[in-house]
Amino acid sequence: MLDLSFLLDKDAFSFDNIRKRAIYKELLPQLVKHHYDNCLDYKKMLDVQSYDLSISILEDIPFLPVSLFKKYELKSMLDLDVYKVLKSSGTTGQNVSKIYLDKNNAALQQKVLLKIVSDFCQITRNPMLILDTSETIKNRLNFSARSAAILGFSLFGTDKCFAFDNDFKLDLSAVNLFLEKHRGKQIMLFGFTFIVWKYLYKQLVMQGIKLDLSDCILIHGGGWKKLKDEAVSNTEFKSSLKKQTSLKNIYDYYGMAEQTGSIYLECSEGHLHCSIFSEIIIRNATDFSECNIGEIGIVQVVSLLAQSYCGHSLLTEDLGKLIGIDDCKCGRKGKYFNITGRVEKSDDRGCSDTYEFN
Amino acid sequence: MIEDVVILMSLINKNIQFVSGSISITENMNKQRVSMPFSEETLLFFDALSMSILKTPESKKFSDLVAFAFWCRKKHLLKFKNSKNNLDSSLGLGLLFHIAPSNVALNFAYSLAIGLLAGNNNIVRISSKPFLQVQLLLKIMNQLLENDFFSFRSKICIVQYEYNAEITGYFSSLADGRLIWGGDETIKNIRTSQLKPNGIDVGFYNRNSIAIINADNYLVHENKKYLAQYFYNDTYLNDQKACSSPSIIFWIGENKSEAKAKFWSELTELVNEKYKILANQTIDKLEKFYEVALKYECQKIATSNELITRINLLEIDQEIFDYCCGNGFFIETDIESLIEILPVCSKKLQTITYFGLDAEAIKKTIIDNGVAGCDRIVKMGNALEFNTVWDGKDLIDTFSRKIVT
Repeated sequence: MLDLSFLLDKDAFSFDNIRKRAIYKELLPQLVKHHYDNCLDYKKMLDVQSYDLSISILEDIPFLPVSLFKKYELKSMLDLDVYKVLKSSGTTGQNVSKIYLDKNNAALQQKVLLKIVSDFCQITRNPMLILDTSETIKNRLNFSARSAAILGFSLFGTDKCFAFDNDFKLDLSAVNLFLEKHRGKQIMLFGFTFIVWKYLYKQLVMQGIKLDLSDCILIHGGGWKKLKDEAVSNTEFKSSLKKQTSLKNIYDYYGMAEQTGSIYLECSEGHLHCSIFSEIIIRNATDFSECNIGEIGIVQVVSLLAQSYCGHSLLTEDLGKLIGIDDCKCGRKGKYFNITGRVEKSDDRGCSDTYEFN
Repeated sequence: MIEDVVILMSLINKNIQFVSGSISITENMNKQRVSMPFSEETLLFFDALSMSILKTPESKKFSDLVAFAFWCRKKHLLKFKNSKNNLDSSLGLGLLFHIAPSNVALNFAYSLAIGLLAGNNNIVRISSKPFLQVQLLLKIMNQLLENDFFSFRSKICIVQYEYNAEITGYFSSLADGRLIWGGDETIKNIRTSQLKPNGIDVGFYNRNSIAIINADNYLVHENKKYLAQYFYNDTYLNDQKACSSPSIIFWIGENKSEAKAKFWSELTELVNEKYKILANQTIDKLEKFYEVALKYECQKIATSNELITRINLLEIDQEIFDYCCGNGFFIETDIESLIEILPVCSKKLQTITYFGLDAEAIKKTIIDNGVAGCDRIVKMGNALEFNTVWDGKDLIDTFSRKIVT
């Protein structure tokens, strides 16, 4: 197991690229070796490509496609140590990813999430309005990424309130009461992007209600793919919400069930930032070589947190581009980037795919 | 009949697009005459189509379109005709409904050709994917139908529509025969729509294919560039997704490693120059590579980029086909004798492409062992060449009737 305690003492965005690379050069081979020794499937996957375990260059560490977690239990611990199984919020009809966590790994995710978010706003002493239903976090046997994120965030708030009833109807009286109670304080809002849009924004518009959320901070994430049909851009999302609720502080985050904890938050300049706990590499589709700054490619995510399961280096199905390193105007060190879309997955197999059945 | 027309009118409102023919042609199709298989006028129509394609400069951009033009030349079609007896006692079945696949752009043209050559009238549902060669072919064909082959208009309707059980049900209810391309799922779904009581249904289910190469004969062959091009045509031309494209390569002979090195370096050159791959394809291949790694004893063979993926398998079984995802994904295995291919000769196996071997010897291995799979044995380079006998069935016989006296 990697000891990350020395990193937990540092500010989440305080390492410049040179320092970070030096640390990853040290830690990543250890992490790869840890999974190699503790997960038979991972060992097989490396052996088949005659992988050299002494490789220490970040870009040369093997990456697994995220989709593998839908089919295989890639865990690097004993079954009796499984504390929690995280499931991705897969689109209907698809298999969901299963991420196996032991107690330490779950706690580590929690700590890092707090560190990262704290760099953007005061999170621990503020009341929190959760833009979801209380039902979402009740079923712990079926732990989704959404419930994990909500639970993770809600632990930080002093007082909390769920904005929707079980049918996702806006509980306006509860919300107003909560806002009134904490008037003058900074209130944290947290929710999934499509829920914020579909259930908060749309209901407010339909009912012609304007809420005053000018003192609030919204952190939202979970991807844009569910909003693809509605063709809402980040800019439009922000301006529409501002119009309806006077909400000014809106932070998008990028993260996934496969790497809970080490999320990427959007700064005031509109860029997503890598913390000291994780790294991204943008890769060309043709040869998986690294893209230049500004070039769109497939996003690979590397996280030091993934220890009880083999999710430390993953090739996502997201497209993105690196904007720069160490020099974002917001002052944070490390790589910063944007997500530009998703890889169009085709299911052409054999001669199948004549019809797209719903 | 009036009722049918009313149903169809309401369906048209649901966006059936006629890219060839029209709604009134569809309505009257069941009253049209059928013809003798390989009738002179049908052969002339295809000959004219072939010539029109070849003299349209734009066609040269699409090698699959040019290949179709050569395939449908009268001279070539006569080869099929001449292999048949008693054609003058045969007639087409009537109306055929074709459901073409979306992964091989011009498959619909061959399916339509089968329908016409067998003497039938045809409704063809094609994919809505905007293939440029499909648009070009339709333009050329429609011009012929408007001019010299006006009488052929009543035999051809080509439609596009988003999946809709009502529309499929309507077209099926008119049909004496149906050709369902597009694999197991599609067949299962389309078959919920009934044909006429006499209707004949042929489903082209999910198939896979293999290649066998004799290493020693390869090494002494003088034009390896041509062979690379042949293999490229068999595989990369349709993203290796056609049922007939080989995904497993069996190497036989003495100097296998030398032959492989040469073969793949020739192919790499060609692929680097010609093939474009997309992110979803490389991700798919990476995923399948790891899946193979988890199931089989194997070794990945390093390639210069992600255009070619090579995995050497020590032992093979029929399930390996489930992992073959196309886009330049090759499973290789060494064999000492032909009987070692038998583990993959299940129902799933369609075509064996070969180089440097005797087709008769391969056929004998299949027949002597009475295995369920393998319907075609063709030379390297001919994997995608369409034949009127497909998936083991004589489609001309299947979609025509014989009159005995």
